Amino acid sequence: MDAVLTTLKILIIGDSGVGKSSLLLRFTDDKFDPEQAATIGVDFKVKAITIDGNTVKLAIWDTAGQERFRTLTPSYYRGAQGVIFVYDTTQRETFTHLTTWLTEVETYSTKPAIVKMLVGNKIDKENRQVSREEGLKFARKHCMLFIEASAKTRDGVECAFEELVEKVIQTPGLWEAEDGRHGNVNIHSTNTGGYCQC
Amino acid sequence: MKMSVMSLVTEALVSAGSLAKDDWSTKIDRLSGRAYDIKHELNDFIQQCYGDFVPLLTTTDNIHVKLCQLQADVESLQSSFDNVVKSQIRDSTKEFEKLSVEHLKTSKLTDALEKLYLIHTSLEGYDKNFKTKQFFEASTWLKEIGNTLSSLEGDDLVDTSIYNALRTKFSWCQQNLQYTLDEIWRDSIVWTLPLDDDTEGTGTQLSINFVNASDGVSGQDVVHSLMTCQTLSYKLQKFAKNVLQYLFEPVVVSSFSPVIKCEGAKAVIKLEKKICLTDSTQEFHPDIVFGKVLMCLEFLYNHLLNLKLSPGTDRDEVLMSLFRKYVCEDTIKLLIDHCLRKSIPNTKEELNNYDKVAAVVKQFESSLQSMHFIPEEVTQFGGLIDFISDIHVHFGNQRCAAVLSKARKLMKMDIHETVEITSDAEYNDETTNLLHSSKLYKPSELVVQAVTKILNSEMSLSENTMRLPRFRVSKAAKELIELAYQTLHEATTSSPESAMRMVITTQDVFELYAAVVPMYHRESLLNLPQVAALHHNDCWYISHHLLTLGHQFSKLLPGKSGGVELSFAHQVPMLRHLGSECFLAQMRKQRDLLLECLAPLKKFQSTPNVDKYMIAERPVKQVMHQLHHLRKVWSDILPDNVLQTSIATLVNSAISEVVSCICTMEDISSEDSIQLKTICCVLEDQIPSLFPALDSDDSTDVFGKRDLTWQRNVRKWQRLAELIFVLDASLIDIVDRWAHSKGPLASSFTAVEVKGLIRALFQNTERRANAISKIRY
Repeated sequence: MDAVLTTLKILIIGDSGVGKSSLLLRFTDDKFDPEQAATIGVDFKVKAITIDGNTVKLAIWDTAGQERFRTLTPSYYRGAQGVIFVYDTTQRETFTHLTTWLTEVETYSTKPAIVKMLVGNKIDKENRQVSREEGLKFARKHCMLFIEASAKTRDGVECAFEELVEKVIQTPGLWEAEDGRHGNVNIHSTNTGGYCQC
Repeated sequence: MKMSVMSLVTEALVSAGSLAKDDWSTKIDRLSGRAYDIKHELNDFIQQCYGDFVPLLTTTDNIHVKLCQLQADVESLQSSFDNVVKSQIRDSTKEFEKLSVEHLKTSKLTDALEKLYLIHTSLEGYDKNFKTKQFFEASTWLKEIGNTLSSLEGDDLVDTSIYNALRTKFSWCQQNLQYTLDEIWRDSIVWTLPLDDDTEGTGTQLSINFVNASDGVSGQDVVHSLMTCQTLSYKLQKFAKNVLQYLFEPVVVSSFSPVIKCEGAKAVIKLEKKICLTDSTQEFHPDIVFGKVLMCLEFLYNHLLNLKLSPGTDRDEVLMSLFRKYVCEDTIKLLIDHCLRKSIPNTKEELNNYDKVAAVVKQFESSLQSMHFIPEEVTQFGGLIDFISDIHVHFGNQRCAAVLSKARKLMKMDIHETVEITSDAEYNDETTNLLHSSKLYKPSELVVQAVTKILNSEMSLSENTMRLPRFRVSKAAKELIELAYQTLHEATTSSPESAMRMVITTQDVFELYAAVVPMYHRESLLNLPQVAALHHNDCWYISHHLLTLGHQFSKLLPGKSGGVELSFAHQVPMLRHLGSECFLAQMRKQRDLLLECLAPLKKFQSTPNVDKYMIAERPVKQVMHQLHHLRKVWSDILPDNVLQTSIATLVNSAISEVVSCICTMEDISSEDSIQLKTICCVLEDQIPSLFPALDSDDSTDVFGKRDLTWQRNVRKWQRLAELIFVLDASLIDIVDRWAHSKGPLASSFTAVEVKGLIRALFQNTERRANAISKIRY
């Protein structure tokens, strides 16, 4: 815990009912609640994750999908380094609606190099409406990471977060510059060094 | 060689010299002969001259002596002449002068005596005429005497007793005549004025009768003699004043009617108050009033004023021409002020029927001319006709004054009488009818059309452009807008001049609004949040209409003004500013009230444990009560979005105050923290109820919990939520929530604030120090 490399701010966005909160619950607490209630305002969870020997702390913001429950749009985009777009593979409109979410991220994001990950959820369900290829094509077009997952069956959940974090850390200027700005050179210089050796 | 040359020259010279010697002697001989001749001639000449001179000199001397003698004789004669003749001339001149002066004196005396005689005969003539009551002749005599007397002025005679006697006699006669004439005038023209305390309605009575009063002396004679005595104008002036005051004024201003009676030579006019059956407006109709005035004038003209001013002349200058000088202007003014002004029409229909009145006025004026009350040569006299021809202007003035006074009355109405404006209907029935009748565009249609024209493409504005949200305005504001529409509508059918006046008046109405309302309703605007909100709405509602009012009427105005682009938009910023300022002032006042309620929170720490919760809870309850009250008062009035923003702004202020109060506390015991959390939770629970869903068709909606969009306006909401979290959290939780400034805590609080809170909530341990070290960016 002491050798935490950095804290990353991750957002989860997408239409209501696509399973954003379920993905988060599965990732942080490894639980699944079939009766998961609609998120009001914003939910927040912290989780440490170790990738290639580097421990990174994640500050994950789970936002309300429903328009009427959304409150502080600009403030939760501020300083975010990674964003997870979630759609429901069994609900096509949640997929087509992704462009709107992309626009919102571009509008409010304060970091131009923000890492985007597309997650197609609920692959355990049978009546799939969006194929894997379609998802992949959309992700490529918009320079996003892509994975299909199921919060219920745990498929791809951990992987999604790990890949995102990996990409963030590999992206130059996305996190070191910010930490450097606030000083505390000692800790970070050693840690950064450690990372580079990997 | 030299020697030889010299000898040669000498030789030549010698020979030449001998020759010359011979020549010279002959020449000298000749010259001596000539000199002798000349001597001889000179001698002859001298002899001749002196021989003649002596006798000539002697003769001249003789003549000189004779001349001197003659001169002496002449001089002696001259002196004797001077002495004798000159003295004689001086004497005779003096005598002549003396004689001529005496002659002058004598002739003057004769002259004066002649004049005195003339005066005497005049006096005799006067006496005779006066006794036979031929006043005109008498006065003519007197006038002559007066002239003669004044010509004697400066004469030596003035000191004589005869002159003084005549002078006294003259003034005596003059006064006598004057007195007699005065008496006749007084007895002939008799005014019977109503008593001051007389309310019975008996009016003035005027009787004119020259015959009885003066034993057969004609009025004409009296007038002539008065004219000759130069007292006529004074008398007439007084008479005219009476006529104006006691005859014309009662007739025009009150409802008196003249009654004329003629008994032989006696003519009487009497004013009587008639108990009228018709209503009073008819009574003052120009037709009737003019008739009465004409009757009075005719009476005066027939019995007095048609008398000639001076006899003999053919010019028919009558008394009237003098009389009118004193009353004409005032009478016309009286008629205009009290009769015609009342006849100015109030409606368009009446204006169209005004020709009748014009005809009456024209006829009246021609009657006046025939009586010489108005000089014939002046065609445009008096202003009666002028007034009639300017009736459109007067009508316009009256209308504008009426509009302004109505507007002022509306502005003084209570603001809290309200009308609901719904999003569907832009106007109430009355205005809509008006609009339909005049083929006006609705503002929204107008704008949509205009913009579509500009864009010239498929793009067009939504139908909702220029629509108003649902809200309430005061009845007065709505009626004011209706008044503006009516006035402009009326302008479209008026003459160009009055149309422009009405447009300007409409603008004035709104200027007036901006000036009157904030002053007149100052107290209630300041103290009553409901009234302040209504005034805010009123201003925006009026502005909304002003934006398009000009365009709607621009093309419909008559004449030149029809082409002018009319706009009221320049008044919009003024009105909006007025409304906003008023409401903002109210908001500031409400905020100050809320902060005042919360003031006891600051004493939370210094209070003994027992009362702490009370102290903390009371202000919060008060704040919530106040906010609920405001919401209730405003909810029906303000448009939904404005209501929400306003309440949200006040909530923000309240939360901000509570949170910063807690943040500044230096030490919070665990018990205190529970209590503080409780009051924060009270806020958190109750604030949502201030924001019911906008489209509350969802009956299951627990106030504000189903729709959180209101939170976007309450910027400090998150701060409250995070504070509640911190008050009841472990150190680890807090650090996690801070999440290296990536967590929600960091988006609502600064590191300094969080550190302060940790220090206040937790005991000073190594764990606390560790946690604090992690609260950084």
